[in-house]
Amino acid sequence: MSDVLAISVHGLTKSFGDRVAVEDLSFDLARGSVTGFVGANGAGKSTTIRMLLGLIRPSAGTANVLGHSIGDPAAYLSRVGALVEAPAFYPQLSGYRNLLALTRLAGLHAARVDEVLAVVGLADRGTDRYKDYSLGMKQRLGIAAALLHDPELLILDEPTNGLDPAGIVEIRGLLRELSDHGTSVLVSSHNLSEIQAVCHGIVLIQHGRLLWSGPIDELLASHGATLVAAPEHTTDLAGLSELVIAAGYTSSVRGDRLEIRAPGSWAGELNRQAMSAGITLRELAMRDASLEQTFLDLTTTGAPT
Amino acid sequence: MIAAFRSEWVKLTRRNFVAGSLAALVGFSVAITAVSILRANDTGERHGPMSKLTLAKLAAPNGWLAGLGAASTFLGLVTLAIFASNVAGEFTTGTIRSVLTVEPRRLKVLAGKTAALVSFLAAGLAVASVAVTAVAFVLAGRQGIDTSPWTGSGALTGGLAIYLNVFLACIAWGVFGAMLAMFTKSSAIAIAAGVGYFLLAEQLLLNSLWSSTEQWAPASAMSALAEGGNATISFGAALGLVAAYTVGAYTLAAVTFTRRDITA
Repeated sequence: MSDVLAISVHGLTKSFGDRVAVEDLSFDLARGSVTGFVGANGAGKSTTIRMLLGLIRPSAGTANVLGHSIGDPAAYLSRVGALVEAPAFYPQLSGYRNLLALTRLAGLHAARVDEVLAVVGLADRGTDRYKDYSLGMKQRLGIAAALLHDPELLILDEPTNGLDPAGIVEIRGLLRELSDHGTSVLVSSHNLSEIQAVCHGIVLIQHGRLLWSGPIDELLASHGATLVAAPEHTTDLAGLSELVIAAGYTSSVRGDRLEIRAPGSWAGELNRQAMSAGITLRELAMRDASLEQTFLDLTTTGAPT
Repeated sequence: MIAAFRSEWVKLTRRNFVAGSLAALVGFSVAITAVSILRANDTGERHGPMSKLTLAKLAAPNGWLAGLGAASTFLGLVTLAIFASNVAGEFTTGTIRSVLTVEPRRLKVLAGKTAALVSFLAAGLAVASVAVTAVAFVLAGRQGIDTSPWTGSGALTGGLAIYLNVFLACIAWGVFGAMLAMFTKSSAIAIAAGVGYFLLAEQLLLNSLWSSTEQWAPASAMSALAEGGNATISFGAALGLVAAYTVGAYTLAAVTFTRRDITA
């Protein structure tokens, strides 16, 4: 199993004194997948990422990265690229020399620095001092550092933070390209539309606990999908609503339509029941909710995983 | 460790860092050499951390570098600040997490960093030695010091011995600085604690509570080592004591580093 999983987390817990930052967290990340890691500020994303990178020790639980226990980070970190929270470099050194220091530490050839600077669009600004970089350029340098050793697994914490729209599109393309070449990616972001655009799967946490883990499509379908039904006559909205309530679902009226929180598989049944009740539907459609709305719903209701 | 050493040297070549460190090492060495030569007399009583040189000591074959030995306490404090700011800076800037996600073997990172800083110190003291030599030759005439022994037999080995003693003492100062930085994760607090203890607290304690234990005190031992031994602590005892303190401080720093959660 471990050879098909880039990351496997079981019951991971981290406490700082009395404060529990991550509690009994479990999820898997398949190799070659791009997975979003989502949660509000302070939800425990960075703490989890730091545990996966061997920067902090878990209080309980286990995790494997590329088949190796996080208790032995030296066994796998040479195959992992990471950007943890904001990029951190030596302000007085140029972007090039900052990467050169990491390249030497990793025992890589110095030529790799030019390659990754080109990948992130900093080839012509490599000799500028880091402290003179814009926020977006600092972010790009952080991504370049993560790419230095051509990693099998990339862990990026808010990689598009500070990037302009063009930069965001570039990073999105880069992540897709890396995924196409088999690189597994765990990317944390507050930009949920970005996550939805790039990721196959999602791990959603709140207060250090798992809310959801799995394919994004499944999450949207099971938690966020909405059936939209429009009766031929608006006077039938109340009758339609009663059918929904009788089936155990909820609905709300939006203009001349009824938005029903029910799985798409119930659409046929609704159509039959409406016909039996003498209600003709002029529209019956499935509408995917946005990830933002789903996230808000889940974090508000704390729905089960 | 070699990789960590080579990586560290990239950081040590920062212009501001090199200029600041050399300015402090050379500045203190030159200033104290000049004052020591110009105030040299036949008695040579000691004033605080700056050992006053006698004319006889200056006229010896190794007198050309005696100023470096006289400046050893200040050079030690500069070294403490260099090591402390380098180690604590990794935590305050957050660069430690970049370093440890590339090389998670923390003992190797610490060893490489320490080795690089020690080699930087060796180079810095060599530059300071050149400056001290120049000042000594220029000012010797004013005090009527005969400089012919400085170019005679034993001059080079005598000077090298002073350099080596000061260098070893400064390594100890530096390791104490690294240890304090590892504890506090703050350059300012580590330097303040180091300077406060070695320059003030230890002297106060020796003058009051611990007067009978001067031969065991760290700052006294480091001074004695830099001087090549003195009336209180012999060279051999100073070397052994400083080595023990250095190994102890390094071990504490290493244990702290390996066990610490990196939340920076």
